[in-house]
Amino acid sequence: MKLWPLGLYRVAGESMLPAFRPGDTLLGWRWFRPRAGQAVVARQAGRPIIKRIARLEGERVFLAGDNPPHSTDSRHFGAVSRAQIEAKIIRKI
Amino acid sequence: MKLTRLLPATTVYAHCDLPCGVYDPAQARIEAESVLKIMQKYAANEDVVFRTRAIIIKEERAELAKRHLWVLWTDYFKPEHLEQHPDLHDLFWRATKAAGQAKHSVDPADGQKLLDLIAEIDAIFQTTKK
Repeated sequence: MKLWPLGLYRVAGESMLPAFRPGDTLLGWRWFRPRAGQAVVARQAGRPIIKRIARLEGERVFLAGDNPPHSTDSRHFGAVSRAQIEAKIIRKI
Repeated sequence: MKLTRLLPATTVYAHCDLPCGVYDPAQARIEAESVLKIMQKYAANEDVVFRTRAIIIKEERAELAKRHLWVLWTDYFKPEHLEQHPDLHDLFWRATKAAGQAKHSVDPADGQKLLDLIAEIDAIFQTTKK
């Protein structure tokens, strides 16, 4: 459990268009249970990425970009673990 | 500029990590050749249905030519290419404009102009491959 629940994130890239545009500043909430449909920040190969949870299978989380042609996601790197999910996006600010 | 952009925030990547790195003006050229051929066929056939289809397909092909040019312009060409070819931006601007003009027109001269500009871009492209 992270000590501080809020996180501030800035989007780079176009894989989450139209929901999130490059340069958008987003507020994330770290104390949550992952659910399908949530936009989340995850650590993948040591890098923070933003994607949407497509589905959950136990500890495995499948991530997808909202803009599939411009997204590298679970189609390419497979599922991530729940421990790699850092925050859910609660609003654009 | 939104003030929130000044807030310190963690960058989160929403990227495509798999740029295939395959670029070639041939993509744009083939679409532009279709545009020119359609213009010629349009002139040679007065059937209304044929002409309507020709215009629809020409619109699509011209859009694809424009799209391929944009990809070359924004993804392939780098600042060092611009240093060697200072007219590059102007050339792409004229070529993508010509693709737009090819939508408006059924004059084969406009199709040929688009092809000629793509050939100029191709000549520069080939020098960057050496």
